[in-house]
Amino acid sequence: MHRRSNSSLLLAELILSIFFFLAAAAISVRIFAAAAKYEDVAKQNQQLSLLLRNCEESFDAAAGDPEKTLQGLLVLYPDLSAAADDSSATLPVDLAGEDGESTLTLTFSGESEGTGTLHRLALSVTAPDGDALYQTELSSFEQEAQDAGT
Amino acid sequence: MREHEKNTGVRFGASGISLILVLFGIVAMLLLAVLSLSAAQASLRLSKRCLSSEENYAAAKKEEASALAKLSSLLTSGEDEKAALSDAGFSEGEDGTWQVSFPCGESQALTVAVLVEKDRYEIVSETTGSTEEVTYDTSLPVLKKSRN
Repeated sequence: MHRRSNSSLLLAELILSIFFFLAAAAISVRIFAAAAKYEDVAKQNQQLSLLLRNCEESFDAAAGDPEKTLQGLLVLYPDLSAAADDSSATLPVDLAGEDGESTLTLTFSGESEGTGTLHRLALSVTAPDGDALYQTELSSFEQEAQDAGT
Repeated sequence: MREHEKNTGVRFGASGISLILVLFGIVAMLLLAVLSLSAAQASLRLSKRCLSSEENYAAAKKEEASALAKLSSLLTSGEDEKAALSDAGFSEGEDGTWQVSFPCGESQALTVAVLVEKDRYEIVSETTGSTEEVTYDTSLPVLKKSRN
């Protein structure tokens, strides 16, 4: 009788242990999955901020000139492909958390103001499925070079 | 036979030690999961701040470009230099330059100083600085005092 009750207790203990362990494991797996998602978004934000910074620096260094901006970006991103008139360019980007390659699109525009040109550069990142992930715009004013005689 | 049976120490399941060990394992696993989530959230917050910092700078540069374009447009339209600078948002500084500041986030500003001659401007300086006053805590003797 004593031996039989010990076996029953042991079996109950085993079942309880397995039950609690499985429950905790299920909760832990969900928490780990959420943490992995946050890490993916964080990494994606870092990649976007690096892209934005590089585009800003090239754009500022070129004073907004599309051709010079693209030349500067080609050094950093050899996969950049520009349109024939340098009005736009695309760059495939491998962003964290996305299945496949996203696309960074640069679109240049400008208008004359006073003695120079107000250049604009629109940046947009689209996901592999076509969803817009990120958009922003940069501006730079380029004053025309002064003639030597004036 | 039963008389010769001996208890060879504590049986594994008899005193609930197995349950205690399993509970310990569960607590450790949950703690690890919570810590990894906490680290991931901290990483996400930092990355958001980094991206918004870049965006704020881009927005400030955009405002700067608009102000310079407006200034250039006003100067070429024949307007008086001081009036054009004032209309474009510039204010005269102590060193003779004309300055304008654009907010760059909560605690920073992009400041541009220009000089104007006829219908052209020249950028003298372009700096990003803090807009908050920084008070240094000198209560701890961190740096060695100079012997001189």
